[in-house]
Amino acid sequence: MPRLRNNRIRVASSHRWRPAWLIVGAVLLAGTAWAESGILLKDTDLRHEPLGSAEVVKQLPANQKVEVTSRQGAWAAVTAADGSQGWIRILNLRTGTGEKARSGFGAMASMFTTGSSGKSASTGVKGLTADQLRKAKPNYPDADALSGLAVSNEDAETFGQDGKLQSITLAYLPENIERGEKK
Amino acid sequence: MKRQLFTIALLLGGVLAFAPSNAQDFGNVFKAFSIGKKAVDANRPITPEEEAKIGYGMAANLLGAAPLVKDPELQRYVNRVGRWLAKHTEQPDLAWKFGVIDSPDFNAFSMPGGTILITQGLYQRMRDESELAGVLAHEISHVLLKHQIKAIQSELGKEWTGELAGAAIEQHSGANSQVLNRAFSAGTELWVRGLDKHDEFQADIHGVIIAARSGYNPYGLVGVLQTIDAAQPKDGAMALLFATHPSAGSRIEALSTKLGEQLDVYADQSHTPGRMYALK
Repeated sequence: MPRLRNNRIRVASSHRWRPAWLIVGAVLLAGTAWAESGILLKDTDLRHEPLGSAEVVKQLPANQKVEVTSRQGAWAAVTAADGSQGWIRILNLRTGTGEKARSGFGAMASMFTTGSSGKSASTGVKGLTADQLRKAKPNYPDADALSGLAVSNEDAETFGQDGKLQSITLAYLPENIERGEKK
Repeated sequence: MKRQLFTIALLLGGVLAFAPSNAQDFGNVFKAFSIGKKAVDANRPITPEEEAKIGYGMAANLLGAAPLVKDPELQRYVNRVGRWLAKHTEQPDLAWKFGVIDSPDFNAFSMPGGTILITQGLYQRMRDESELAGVLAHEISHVLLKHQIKAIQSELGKEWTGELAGAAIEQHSGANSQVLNRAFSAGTELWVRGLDKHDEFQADIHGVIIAARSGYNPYGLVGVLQTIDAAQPKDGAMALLFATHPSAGSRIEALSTKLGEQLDVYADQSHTPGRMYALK
Protein backbone atom coordinates (compact mmCIF):
# COMPACT_ATOMS: atom_id res chain seq x y z
CA MET A 1 0.00 0.00 0.00
CA PRO A 2 2.75 2.56 0.74
CA ARG A 3 4.10 2.00 -2.77
CA LEU A 4 0.74 2.91 -4.22
CA ARG A 5 0.54 6.12 -2.26
CA ASN A 6 4.02 7.14 -3.29
CA ASN A 7 3.19 6.57 -6.91
CA ARG A 8 0.06 8.63 -6.64
CA ILE A 9 2.02 11.49 -5.21
CA ARG A 10 4.40 11.21 -8.12
CA VAL A 11 1.49 11.55 -10.55
CA ALA A 12 0.62 14.85 -8.97
CA SER A 13 4.18 16.13 -8.89
CA SER A 14 4.65 15.47 -12.57
CA HIS A 15 2.10 18.12 -13.30
CA ARG A 16 3.95 20.99 -11.68
CA TRP A 17 1.19 21.94 -9.35
CA ARG A 18 1.78 24.77 -7.00
CA PRO A 19 3.35 23.43 -3.77
CA ALA A 20 0.28 24.06 -1.60
CA TRP A 21 -1.93 22.14 -3.98
CA LEU A 22 0.64 19.41 -4.20
CA ILE A 23 0.53 18.88 -0.46
CA VAL A 24 -3.25 19.08 -0.25
CA GLY A 25 -3.58 16.73 -3.21
CA ALA A 26 -1.09 14.27 -1.80
CA VAL A 27 -2.87 14.16 1.56
CA LEU A 28 -6.26 13.67 -0.09
CA LEU A 29 -4.98 10.93 -2.38
CA ALA A 30 -3.12 9.18 0.40
CA GLY A 31 -6.33 9.36 2.42
CA THR A 32 -8.35 7.66 -0.27
CA ALA A 33 -5.76 4.92 -0.47
CA TRP A 34 -6.18 4.20 3.24
CA ALA A 35 -9.92 4.58 3.61
CA GLU A 36 -11.50 2.77 0.73
CA SER A 37 -15.20 2.54 1.32
CA GLY A 38 -17.60 0.20 -0.35
CA ILE A 39 -21.23 -0.85 -0.62
CA LEU A 40 -22.42 -4.45 -0.48
CA LEU A 41 -24.04 -5.65 -3.68
CA LYS A 42 -26.05 -8.32 -1.88
CA ASP A 43 -26.61 -9.89 1.53
CA THR A 44 -23.16 -10.99 2.59
CA ASP A 45 -21.62 -13.20 5.25
CA LEU A 46 -18.96 -11.40 7.29
CA ARG A 47 -16.44 -14.11 8.21
CA HIS A 48 -13.65 -14.38 10.77
CA GLU A 49 -11.10 -15.37 8.16
CA PRO A 50 -10.71 -15.11 4.38
CA LEU A 51 -12.14 -18.58 3.86
CA GLY A 52 -15.53 -19.80 2.71
CA SER A 53 -15.54 -22.30 5.58
CA ALA A 54 -14.62 -19.74 8.27
CA GLU A 55 -17.06 -18.86 11.04
CA VAL A 56 -19.65 -16.23 10.15
CA VAL A 57 -19.36 -13.17 12.41
CA LYS A 58 -22.68 -11.82 11.23
CA GLN A 59 -24.77 -11.31 8.14
CA LEU A 60 -24.55 -7.92 6.53
CA PRO A 61 -27.49 -6.71 4.46
CA ALA A 62 -27.26 -5.57 0.82
CA ASN A 63 -26.39 -1.89 0.36
CA GLN A 64 -24.64 -1.70 3.72
CA LYS A 65 -21.61 0.58 3.68
CA VAL A 66 -18.26 -0.86 4.76
CA GLU A 67 -14.68 0.36 5.06
CA VAL A 68 -12.13 -1.79 3.27
CA THR A 69 -8.90 -2.22 5.23
CA SER A 70 -7.08 -4.79 3.07
CA ARG A 71 -7.46 -7.26 0.24
CA GLN A 72 -6.40 -10.86 -0.06
CA GLY A 73 -7.24 -12.89 -3.13
CA ALA A 74 -11.00 -13.42 -3.27
CA TRP A 75 -11.48 -11.56 0.02
CA ALA A 76 -11.54 -8.05 1.43
CA ALA A 77 -11.10 -7.24 5.11
CA VAL A 78 -13.79 -4.77 6.12
CA THR A 79 -15.21 -2.84 9.04
CA ALA A 80 -19.00 -2.65 9.00
CA ALA A 81 -21.09 0.36 10.04
CA ASP A 82 -21.60 -1.06 13.57
CA GLY A 83 -17.85 -1.56 13.98
CA SER A 84 -17.81 -5.32 13.47
CA GLN A 85 -14.84 -6.57 11.50
CA GLY A 86 -14.17 -9.55 9.28
CA TRP A 87 -13.82 -10.72 5.70
CA ILE A 88 -16.23 -10.58 2.79
CA ARG A 89 -16.02 -11.89 -0.76
CA ILE A 90 -14.52 -9.24 -2.98
CA LEU A 91 -17.12 -9.83 -5.69
CA ASN A 92 -19.85 -8.70 -3.27
CA LEU A 93 -18.25 -5.29 -3.03
CA ARG A 94 -18.78 -2.11 -4.97
CA THR A 95 -16.50 0.77 -4.22
CA GLY A 96 -18.45 3.43 -6.07
CA THR A 97 -21.35 5.52 -4.96
CA GLY A 98 -23.70 2.60 -4.78
CA GLU A 99 -25.96 4.00 -7.46
CA LYS A 100 -26.99 0.90 -9.32
CA ALA A 101 -27.32 2.56 -12.66
CA ARG A 102 -24.26 4.76 -12.70
CA SER A 103 -23.05 4.27 -16.21
CA GLY A 104 -20.32 6.04 -18.08
CA PHE A 105 -22.94 8.17 -19.72
CA GLY A 106 -24.66 9.07 -16.48
CA ALA A 107 -21.35 9.83 -14.87
CA MET A 108 -20.43 12.20 -17.63
CA ALA A 109 -23.88 13.76 -17.76
CA SER A 110 -23.69 14.50 -14.05
CA MET A 111 -20.78 16.79 -14.74
CA PHE A 112 -23.19 19.18 -16.33
CA THR A 113 -25.63 19.19 -13.47
CA THR A 114 -23.17 19.32 -10.59
CA GLY A 115 -20.49 21.42 -12.25
CA SER A 116 -17.30 21.43 -10.25
CA SER A 117 -18.97 21.14 -6.86
CA GLY A 118 -18.32 17.42 -6.48
CA LYS A 119 -17.95 16.04 -3.00
CA SER A 120 -14.24 15.32 -3.20
CA ALA A 121 -11.22 16.33 -5.21
CA SER A 122 -10.50 14.79 -8.57
CA THR A 123 -6.94 13.90 -9.37
CA GLY A 124 -6.67 16.97 -11.59
CA VAL A 125 -5.09 14.79 -14.25
CA LYS A 126 -5.97 15.50 -17.84
CA GLY A 127 -6.38 12.24 -19.67
CA LEU A 128 -6.36 11.28 -23.33
CA THR A 129 -9.10 12.99 -25.26
CA ALA A 130 -11.02 12.02 -28.35
CA ASP A 131 -9.47 15.00 -30.08
CA GLN A 132 -5.93 13.94 -29.22
CA LEU A 133 -6.54 10.46 -30.54
CA ARG A 134 -8.13 11.69 -33.74
CA LYS A 135 -5.44 14.24 -34.47
CA ALA A 136 -2.44 12.14 -33.48
CA LYS A 137 0.41 12.00 -35.96
CA PRO A 138 1.51 8.37 -36.35
CA ASN A 139 4.56 7.46 -34.33
CA TYR A 140 6.11 4.71 -36.46
CA PRO A 141 9.44 4.55 -34.60
CA ASP A 142 7.66 3.59 -31.36
CA ALA A 143 5.35 1.18 -33.20
CA ASP A 144 8.47 -0.52 -34.57
CA ALA A 145 10.12 -0.48 -31.16
CA LEU A 146 7.31 -2.65 -29.77
CA SER A 147 8.66 -5.66 -31.68
CA GLY A 148 12.06 -5.26 -30.06
CA LEU A 149 10.49 -5.16 -26.59
CA ALA A 150 8.42 -8.32 -27.10
CA VAL A 151 9.60 -11.49 -25.37
CA SER A 152 9.62 -15.13 -26.44
CA ASN A 153 7.47 -17.93 -25.05
CA GLU A 154 10.61 -19.41 -23.49
CA ASP A 155 11.35 -16.15 -21.70
CA ALA A 156 7.76 -16.00 -20.49
CA GLU A 157 7.96 -19.59 -19.25
CA THR A 158 10.99 -18.75 -17.11
CA PHE A 159 9.21 -15.65 -15.84
CA GLY A 160 6.17 -17.69 -14.82
CA GLN A 161 8.32 -20.21 -12.99
CA ASP A 162 10.27 -17.48 -11.20
CA GLY A 163 6.99 -16.09 -9.94
CA LYS A 164 5.90 -19.60 -8.85
CA LEU A 165 2.86 -19.27 -11.05
CA GLN A 166 1.26 -22.66 -11.57
CA SER A 167 -0.60 -23.24 -14.82
CA ILE A 168 -3.93 -24.96 -14.48
CA THR A 169 -6.37 -26.38 -16.98
CA LEU A 170 -9.60 -24.45 -16.97
CA ALA A 171 -12.22 -24.16 -19.71
CA TYR A 172 -13.74 -20.84 -20.72
CA LEU A 173 -17.19 -20.38 -19.26
CA PRO A 174 -20.03 -20.98 -21.68
CA GLU A 175 -21.01 -17.80 -23.45
CA ASN A 176 -24.47 -16.96 -22.22
CA ILE A 177 -24.37 -13.21 -22.19
CA GLU A 178 -27.17 -12.08 -24.43
CA ARG A 179 -25.84 -9.94 -27.17
CA GLY A 180 -27.65 -6.74 -27.97
CA GLU A 181 -29.18 -6.33 -31.36
CA LYS A 182 -26.49 -5.43 -33.84
CA LYS A 183 -26.66 -1.96 -35.16
CA MET B 1 -7.60 23.30 -15.03
CA LYS B 2 -11.35 23.45 -14.44
CA ARG B 3 -11.86 25.09 -17.77
CA GLN B 4 -9.84 22.35 -19.47
CA LEU B 5 -11.81 19.63 -17.73
CA PHE B 6 -15.05 21.29 -18.66
CA THR B 7 -13.97 21.44 -22.27
CA ILE B 8 -13.16 17.74 -22.24
CA ALA B 9 -16.48 17.04 -20.57
CA LEU B 10 -18.30 19.07 -23.15
CA LEU B 11 -16.52 17.30 -25.98
CA LEU B 12 -17.06 13.79 -24.67
CA GLY B 13 -20.50 14.59 -23.34
CA GLY B 14 -21.48 15.84 -26.75
CA VAL B 15 -20.30 12.64 -28.38
CA LEU B 16 -22.22 10.60 -25.81
CA ALA B 17 -25.37 12.64 -25.95
CA PHE B 18 -25.75 11.91 -29.62
CA ALA B 19 -24.48 8.35 -29.52
CA PRO B 20 -27.86 6.59 -29.13
CA SER B 21 -29.54 8.38 -31.98
CA ASN B 22 -26.83 8.24 -34.54
CA ALA B 23 -24.84 5.16 -33.62
CA GLN B 24 -25.59 3.83 -37.07
CA ASP B 25 -23.69 6.80 -38.45
CA PHE B 26 -20.54 5.20 -37.11
CA GLY B 27 -20.14 3.52 -40.47
CA ASN B 28 -20.64 6.76 -42.27
CA VAL B 29 -17.72 8.27 -40.45
CA PHE B 30 -15.56 5.62 -42.02
CA LYS B 31 -17.26 5.76 -45.39
CA ALA B 32 -16.81 9.51 -45.47
CA PHE B 33 -13.16 8.93 -45.94
CA SER B 34 -13.97 7.65 -49.43
CA ILE B 35 -11.07 5.35 -49.84
CA GLY B 36 -11.88 4.72 -53.49
CA LYS B 37 -12.70 1.58 -55.38
CA LYS B 38 -9.83 -0.78 -55.71
CA ALA B 39 -10.15 -4.36 -56.80
CA VAL B 40 -10.54 -6.59 -53.78
CA ASP B 41 -12.18 -9.86 -53.00
CA ALA B 42 -15.17 -8.60 -51.05
CA ASN B 43 -15.92 -11.81 -49.21
CA ARG B 44 -12.59 -13.19 -48.19
CA PRO B 45 -11.78 -13.19 -44.47
CA ILE B 46 -9.16 -10.84 -43.09
CA THR B 47 -5.90 -12.75 -42.88
CA PRO B 48 -3.76 -12.77 -39.73
CA GLU B 49 -1.13 -10.80 -41.62
CA GLU B 50 -3.65 -8.10 -42.47
CA GLU B 51 -4.87 -7.99 -38.89
CA ALA B 52 -1.29 -7.39 -37.80
CA LYS B 53 -0.87 -4.56 -40.30
CA ILE B 54 -4.10 -2.90 -39.22
CA GLY B 55 -2.95 -3.27 -35.62
CA TYR B 56 0.40 -1.74 -36.49
CA GLY B 57 -1.22 1.36 -37.97
CA MET B 58 -3.60 1.73 -35.04
CA ALA B 59 -0.67 1.38 -32.61
CA ALA B 60 1.32 4.04 -34.50
CA ASN B 61 -1.60 6.45 -34.14
CA LEU B 62 -2.08 5.77 -30.45
CA LEU B 63 1.67 6.13 -29.88
CA GLY B 64 1.43 9.46 -31.70
CA ALA B 65 -0.94 10.63 -28.97
CA ALA B 66 1.19 9.10 -26.19
CA PRO B 67 4.64 7.57 -26.85
CA LEU B 68 6.17 4.58 -25.09
CA VAL B 69 7.53 5.16 -21.60
CA LYS B 70 11.30 5.18 -22.00
CA ASP B 71 11.97 2.49 -19.43
CA PRO B 72 13.02 -0.78 -21.11
CA GLU B 73 12.86 -2.70 -17.82
CA LEU B 74 9.24 -1.69 -17.31
CA GLN B 75 8.39 -2.61 -20.90
CA ARG B 76 10.14 -5.97 -20.56
CA TYR B 77 8.30 -6.72 -17.34
CA VAL B 78 4.90 -5.96 -18.84
CA ASN B 79 5.77 -8.04 -21.92
CA ARG B 80 6.67 -10.99 -19.69
CA VAL B 81 3.39 -10.85 -17.78
CA GLY B 82 1.48 -10.48 -21.05
CA ARG B 83 3.27 -13.26 -22.91
CA TRP B 84 2.93 -15.61 -19.95
CA LEU B 85 -0.84 -15.01 -20.06
CA ALA B 86 -0.99 -15.37 -23.84
CA LYS B 87 0.77 -18.72 -23.58
CA HIS B 88 -2.34 -19.97 -21.83
CA THR B 89 -4.65 -19.12 -24.69
CA GLU B 90 -5.58 -20.68 -28.01
CA GLN B 91 -3.11 -18.38 -29.78
CA PRO B 92 0.19 -18.73 -27.89
CA ASP B 93 2.26 -18.05 -30.99
CA LEU B 94 0.69 -14.81 -32.14
CA ALA B 95 3.18 -11.91 -32.30
CA TRP B 96 2.06 -10.58 -28.91
CA LYS B 97 3.49 -7.16 -28.08
CA PHE B 98 2.81 -5.14 -24.97
CA GLY B 99 3.73 -1.63 -24.00
CA VAL B 100 3.20 1.12 -21.44
CA ILE B 101 2.47 4.53 -22.92
CA ASP B 102 3.42 7.84 -21.40
CA SER B 103 0.06 9.24 -20.35
CA PRO B 104 -1.53 9.95 -16.96
CA ASP B 105 -4.78 8.63 -18.46
CA PHE B 106 -6.28 5.44 -16.97
CA ASN B 107 -6.92 3.09 -19.87
CA ALA B 108 -5.81 0.08 -21.89
CA PHE B 109 -6.04 -0.53 -25.62
CA SER B 110 -5.80 -3.61 -27.78
CA MET B 111 -5.24 -3.87 -31.47
CA PRO B 112 -5.89 -6.61 -34.01
CA GLY B 113 -2.89 -8.89 -34.34
CA GLY B 114 -1.92 -8.91 -30.66
CA THR B 115 -0.63 -5.45 -29.74
CA ILE B 116 -1.73 -4.21 -26.33
CA LEU B 117 -0.90 -0.84 -24.80
CA ILE B 118 -1.71 0.35 -21.30
CA THR B 119 -1.23 3.82 -19.90
CA GLN B 120 1.26 4.69 -17.20
CA GLY B 121 -1.62 6.23 -15.24
CA LEU B 122 -3.28 2.82 -15.09
CA TYR B 123 -0.04 1.03 -14.21
CA GLN B 124 0.57 3.42 -11.33
CA ARG B 125 -2.79 2.76 -9.76
CA MET B 126 -2.52 -1.03 -9.79
CA ARG B 127 -2.04 -2.75 -6.48
CA ASP B 128 -0.10 -5.83 -7.63
CA GLU B 129 0.86 -8.11 -10.52
CA SER B 130 -2.51 -9.88 -10.45
CA GLU B 131 -4.21 -6.61 -11.31
CA LEU B 132 -1.82 -6.09 -14.21
CA ALA B 133 -2.53 -9.65 -15.35
CA GLY B 134 -6.26 -8.99 -15.08
CA VAL B 135 -6.10 -5.97 -17.37
CA LEU B 136 -3.79 -7.61 -19.90
CA ALA B 137 -5.93 -10.76 -19.98
CA HIS B 138 -9.01 -8.62 -20.67
CA GLU B 139 -7.23 -6.96 -23.59
CA ILE B 140 -5.84 -10.30 -24.84
CA SER B 141 -9.44 -11.52 -24.89
CA HIS B 142 -10.51 -8.64 -27.15
CA VAL B 143 -7.80 -9.75 -29.60
CA LEU B 144 -8.66 -13.46 -29.41
CA LEU B 145 -12.35 -12.74 -29.89
CA LYS B 146 -11.55 -10.33 -32.73
CA HIS B 147 -13.76 -7.64 -31.27
CA GLN B 148 -12.11 -4.76 -33.13
CA ILE B 149 -11.99 -6.57 -36.46
CA LYS B 150 -15.62 -7.58 -36.10
CA ALA B 151 -16.62 -4.02 -35.26
CA ILE B 152 -14.88 -2.70 -38.35
CA GLN B 153 -16.36 -5.44 -40.52
CA SER B 154 -19.89 -5.05 -39.25
CA GLU B 155 -19.86 -1.30 -39.70
CA LEU B 156 -18.09 -1.07 -42.99
CA GLY B 157 -18.35 -4.39 -44.72
CA LYS B 158 -15.53 -6.70 -45.63
CA GLU B 159 -14.71 -4.84 -48.80
CA TRP B 160 -13.56 -1.74 -47.02
CA THR B 161 -11.44 -3.69 -44.61
CA GLY B 162 -9.90 -5.51 -47.51
CA GLU B 163 -8.99 -2.18 -49.05
CA LEU B 164 -7.61 -1.01 -45.76
CA ALA B 165 -5.36 -4.03 -45.51
CA GLY B 166 -4.35 -3.62 -49.13
CA ALA B 167 -3.39 -0.04 -48.40
CA ALA B 168 -1.39 -1.24 -45.41
CA ILE B 169 0.62 -3.58 -47.58
CA GLU B 170 1.24 -0.81 -50.09
CA GLN B 171 2.42 1.51 -47.38
CA HIS B 172 4.86 -1.05 -46.13
CA SER B 173 6.57 -1.09 -49.48
CA GLY B 174 6.88 2.68 -49.43
CA ALA B 175 3.92 3.51 -51.67
CA ASN B 176 1.49 6.34 -51.06
CA SER B 177 0.50 6.36 -47.41
CA GLN B 178 -2.06 9.14 -47.48
CA VAL B 179 -5.01 6.79 -47.76
CA LEU B 180 -3.49 4.63 -45.08
CA ASN B 181 -3.05 7.51 -42.67
CA ARG B 182 -6.65 8.56 -43.11
CA ALA B 183 -7.78 4.97 -42.68
CA PHE B 184 -5.87 4.45 -39.45
CA SER B 185 -7.14 7.76 -38.11
CA ALA B 186 -10.60 6.39 -38.73
CA GLY B 187 -9.59 3.23 -36.86
CA THR B 188 -9.06 5.25 -33.71
CA GLU B 189 -12.80 5.89 -33.73
CA LEU B 190 -13.09 2.51 -32.08
CA TRP B 191 -11.29 3.87 -29.03
CA VAL B 192 -13.20 7.11 -29.02
CA ARG B 193 -16.63 5.52 -29.33
CA GLY B 194 -15.94 2.22 -27.62
CA LEU B 195 -16.78 -1.35 -28.48
CA ASP B 196 -20.17 -2.95 -27.99
CA LYS B 197 -20.69 -3.19 -24.21
CA HIS B 198 -21.31 -6.92 -24.51
CA ASP B 199 -17.81 -7.27 -25.95
CA GLU B 200 -16.51 -5.68 -22.76
CA PHE B 201 -18.46 -8.04 -20.51
CA GLN B 202 -17.30 -10.98 -22.59
CA ALA B 203 -13.65 -9.88 -22.41
CA ASP B 204 -13.99 -9.57 -18.61
CA ILE B 205 -15.21 -13.13 -18.20
CA HIS B 206 -12.76 -14.52 -20.74
CA GLY B 207 -9.85 -12.63 -19.21
CA VAL B 208 -10.58 -13.83 -15.71
CA ILE B 209 -10.30 -17.43 -16.93
CA ILE B 210 -7.02 -16.72 -18.75
CA ALA B 211 -5.58 -15.16 -15.58
CA ALA B 212 -6.64 -18.17 -13.51
CA ARG B 213 -5.17 -20.61 -16.05
CA SER B 214 -1.90 -18.73 -15.80
CA GLY B 215 -1.77 -19.18 -12.05
CA TYR B 216 -2.82 -15.66 -11.13
CA ASN B 217 -5.43 -14.62 -8.61
CA PRO B 218 -8.36 -14.33 -11.04
CA TYR B 219 -9.81 -11.39 -9.13
CA GLY B 220 -7.02 -9.01 -10.10
CA LEU B 221 -9.36 -7.47 -12.67
CA VAL B 222 -11.98 -6.98 -9.96
CA GLY B 223 -9.50 -4.89 -8.00
CA VAL B 224 -8.96 -2.65 -11.02
CA LEU B 225 -12.71 -2.36 -11.60
CA GLN B 226 -13.11 -1.32 -7.98
CA THR B 227 -10.45 1.35 -8.45
CA ILE B 228 -12.47 2.64 -11.41
CA ASP B 229 -15.71 2.34 -9.47
CA ALA B 230 -14.26 4.42 -6.63
CA ALA B 231 -13.10 7.19 -8.97
CA GLN B 232 -15.01 10.42 -9.12
CA PRO B 233 -17.11 10.98 -12.25
CA LYS B 234 -15.09 14.08 -13.05
CA ASP B 235 -11.70 12.36 -12.77
CA GLY B 236 -10.06 13.56 -15.99
CA ALA B 237 -7.83 10.49 -16.19
CA MET B 238 -10.92 8.27 -16.43
CA ALA B 239 -12.97 10.43 -18.81
CA LEU B 240 -12.26 8.42 -21.96
CA LEU B 241 -12.66 5.11 -20.13
CA PHE B 242 -16.00 6.20 -18.64
CA ALA B 243 -17.19 7.30 -22.07
CA THR B 244 -16.33 4.02 -23.79
CA HIS B 245 -17.02 1.26 -21.28
CA PRO B 246 -20.00 -0.02 -19.31
CA SER B 247 -19.84 1.18 -15.70
CA ALA B 248 -17.37 -0.60 -13.44
CA GLY B 249 -20.22 -1.39 -11.05
CA SER B 250 -22.17 -3.21 -13.74
CA ARG B 251 -19.04 -5.11 -14.72
CA ILE B 252 -18.41 -6.24 -11.14
CA GLU B 253 -22.03 -7.33 -10.85
CA ALA B 254 -21.81 -9.26 -14.12
CA LEU B 255 -18.66 -11.05 -12.95
CA SER B 256 -20.23 -11.80 -9.59
CA THR B 257 -23.32 -13.28 -11.23
CA LYS B 258 -21.36 -15.28 -13.76
CA LEU B 259 -18.55 -16.57 -11.56
CA GLY B 260 -20.20 -17.21 -8.21
CA GLU B 261 -17.56 -18.80 -5.99
CA GLN B 262 -16.13 -21.25 -8.49
CA LEU B 263 -12.77 -19.49 -8.89
CA ASP B 264 -12.18 -18.74 -5.20
CA VAL B 265 -9.98 -21.81 -4.91
CA TYR B 266 -7.46 -20.18 -7.27
CA ALA B 267 -7.33 -16.87 -5.46
CA ASP B 268 -5.09 -17.25 -2.40
CA GLN B 269 -1.99 -15.15 -1.93
CA SER B 270 0.34 -17.66 -3.59
CA HIS B 271 -1.31 -16.55 -6.83
CA THR B 272 0.08 -13.02 -6.68
CA PRO B 273 3.87 -12.71 -7.00
CA GLY B 274 5.16 -9.81 -4.93
CA ARG B 275 7.43 -8.49 -7.63
CA MET B 276 5.52 -5.74 -9.42
CA TYR B 277 8.05 -3.51 -11.12
CA ALA B 278 8.31 -0.14 -9.37
CA LEU B 279 8.32 2.85 -11.69
CA LYS B 280 11.41 5.03 -11.62
